[in-house]
Amino acid sequence: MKIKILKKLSATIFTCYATIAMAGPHWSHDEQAEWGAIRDHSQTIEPFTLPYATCSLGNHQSPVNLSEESHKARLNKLRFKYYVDRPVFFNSGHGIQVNMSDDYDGHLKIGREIYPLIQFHLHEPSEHMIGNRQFPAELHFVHVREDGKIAVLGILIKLGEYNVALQTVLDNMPSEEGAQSTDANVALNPLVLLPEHRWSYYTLAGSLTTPPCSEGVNWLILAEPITISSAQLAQLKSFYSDNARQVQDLNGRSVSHRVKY
Amino acid sequence: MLIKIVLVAVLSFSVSCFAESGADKSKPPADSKSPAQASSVAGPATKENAKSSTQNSSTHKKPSMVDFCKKNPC
Repeated sequence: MKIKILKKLSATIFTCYATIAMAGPHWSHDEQAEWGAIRDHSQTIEPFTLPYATCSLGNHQSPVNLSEESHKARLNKLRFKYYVDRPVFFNSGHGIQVNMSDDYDGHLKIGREIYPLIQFHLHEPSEHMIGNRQFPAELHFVHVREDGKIAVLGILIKLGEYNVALQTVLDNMPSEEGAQSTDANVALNPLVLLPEHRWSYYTLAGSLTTPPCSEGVNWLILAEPITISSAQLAQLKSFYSDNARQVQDLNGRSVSHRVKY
Repeated sequence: MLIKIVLVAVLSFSVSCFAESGADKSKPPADSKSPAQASSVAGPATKENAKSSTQNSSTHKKPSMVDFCKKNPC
């Protein structure tokens, strides 16, 4: 009995340590204008650095306002090789997120490049805009390659029909910040969250939309949105609302738009 | 008595771990703080840090970036 208590205590301490060690300085969407100036107060040796400086200084930042008049180009077809998984439902404290299991093999293929799917998460309202139109929500599929290169697939969400796949995410998400449901044992194929038509998309070089706002991210935003019902949107907002970064300047970047030829 | 000794040992170790994590954070932002910068997605403001961190993390790129994106929105 006593040994069990000791084991639990040790596990708790190590969990706390691991959480603190992995986390950077605290940030929130409410203070996004100041992300670049947030200091890491755990630093004790000068010179002090600003860990999220790229959020202010970067000139290839995301999200952006996409124009329907974007450069129409012959781009690679996106091949979604997503499979069923029993993922972890994670309330990150900034949004709701679904982490694929460690041995998950699902990936996105762009031309000959393969990007393994790591997680997907939701923003409310949408981060990207199309022709100055903001959508009620946006889904981000985060893919990370072995060399560290990131490709994020953005899927805009409009009000409409009830979305069965999104409901699975909402129903299994823990409400407590930082909590994750490792024992959900829910089978989910991310493919069911994609719109029917996936051939048309916008693409540009951008950044993570949350600190540290690192650049070099390959952004792909599907032109066709998926739907969410009013009740589901309310449920999504009950977790987090206004967790979207404002659109950033293009600073001369070109946006390409794949259309069907 | 034995339980007290073990408890003290565990607490001491955890305190030393916390202290060490603080010391690590005083280093340039490379590993745990901004693993995104340790990969090929480094921002222009931290290119020098990214260069050094790329060397340091060449053998740990995948775990750091994947772990970061599982604990953060990315």
